Amino acid sequence: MDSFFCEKRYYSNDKMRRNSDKSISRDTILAELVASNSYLLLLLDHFNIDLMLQEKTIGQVCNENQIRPEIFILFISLFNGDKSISKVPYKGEDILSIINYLRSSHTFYNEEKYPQIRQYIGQINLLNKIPEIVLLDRFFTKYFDEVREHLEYENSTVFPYIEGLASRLKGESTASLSLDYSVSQYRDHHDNIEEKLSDLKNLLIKYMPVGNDKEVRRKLLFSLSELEFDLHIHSQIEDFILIPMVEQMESQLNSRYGR
Amino acid sequence: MAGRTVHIVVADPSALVVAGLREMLTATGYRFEFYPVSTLAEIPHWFKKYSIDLVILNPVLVFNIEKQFLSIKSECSSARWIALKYNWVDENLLSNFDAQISLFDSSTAIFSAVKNCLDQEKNGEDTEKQPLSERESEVLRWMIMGLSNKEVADQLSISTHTVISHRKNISLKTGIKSLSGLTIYAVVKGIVDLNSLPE
Repeated sequence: MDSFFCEKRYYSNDKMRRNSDKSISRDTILAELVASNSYLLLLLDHFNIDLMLQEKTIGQVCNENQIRPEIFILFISLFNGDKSISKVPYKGEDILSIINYLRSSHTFYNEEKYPQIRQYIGQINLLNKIPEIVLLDRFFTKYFDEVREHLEYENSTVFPYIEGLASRLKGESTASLSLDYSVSQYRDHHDNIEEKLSDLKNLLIKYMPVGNDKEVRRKLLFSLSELEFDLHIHSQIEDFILIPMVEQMESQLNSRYGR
Repeated sequence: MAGRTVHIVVADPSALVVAGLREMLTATGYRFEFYPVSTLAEIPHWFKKYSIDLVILNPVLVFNIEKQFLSIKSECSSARWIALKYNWVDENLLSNFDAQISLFDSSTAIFSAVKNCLDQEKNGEDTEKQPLSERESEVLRWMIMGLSNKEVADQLSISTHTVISHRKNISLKTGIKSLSGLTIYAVVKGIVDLNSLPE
């Protein structure tokens, strides 16, 4: 009867629960949050915030890094698995922080995750010489080509478009916008890249014959899970924060200038 | 499938009702992910992105566009559909839903409707533990050879609809959705031979 609902929360760990339950404010010590949810290390990386957080509060860290604390706290709550993201009012200046965050997560996928996963698959290939590993290797390569194409599209088309909107809204630029693009196309363009990652995990967990690769396979699975987590947050940011903001910007500009 | 997040599209014109429903279900402590929409046409978008388990839809959004509703519903048939009624709704229309809840139901009633609806899916979960049937393996083999649903149907003299339902069961049983992932599964399980794969 209960099988569908057996696990109640993302984080059963008490400490994490407390963090997500207790309201996080600009006076919260950031290091404490990171210590209890290590995924927040990824958040720090994508906001280009260096470690040695010392006793700094969220407010101080945000101030040093020119991020509005409200948006920073919103992102932390996504990482902590909270669902109340629609409640925060957005401000124009946030858009550039968000784009910076997304851009550096792209760098993280390309320059850190991809080579790491490749390396693990290569090691498995040496330790466990079965033909299926070659297929797995090919599967991942093709998958990552798709991911890369998506990231490339965002870097070269979507982000510049949004930055253009932002500078027009601030009155810094009067360059006319390309008429044939709007964020709704982006909404359609970005399809599910989490699905194949879950296939890969299932293949490794359920079906791939094991040889001497036990240890590397475990590392690979941890690495894939980290990527999966980060991509999930990434698409939540795009769907629930970035796209609604850009739609607001578009309609503001439309009513100001017509289009 | 146990213990995963339940993905729900909530289609209702009232932000207040959507927020209330979200609050109510979240308070049960289970893991839900909500995708609010205010028109019928926005629903398929979320099916492309996530594996949606449930659609809670206010039938008001369907009035005068029943045809479109039926086609969207059959396109998105992997989910269960619940009608959210504010007042009287035509029985014919309601018969298209797996369950119904009313604006005036208690939170317990609403939660149990949601839960029952999702537990129906568990019938599918029982089959999850068994390996693929002979027929499913056959369908998988043709799919891997690059045949379309229609072509597989012709090959096996079954309807396209049956092929689609086999495909769904294959993914449900294996936990693997993409064709390239299923290809690896089929090689590991000896359903297809590595050397016979098309490239």
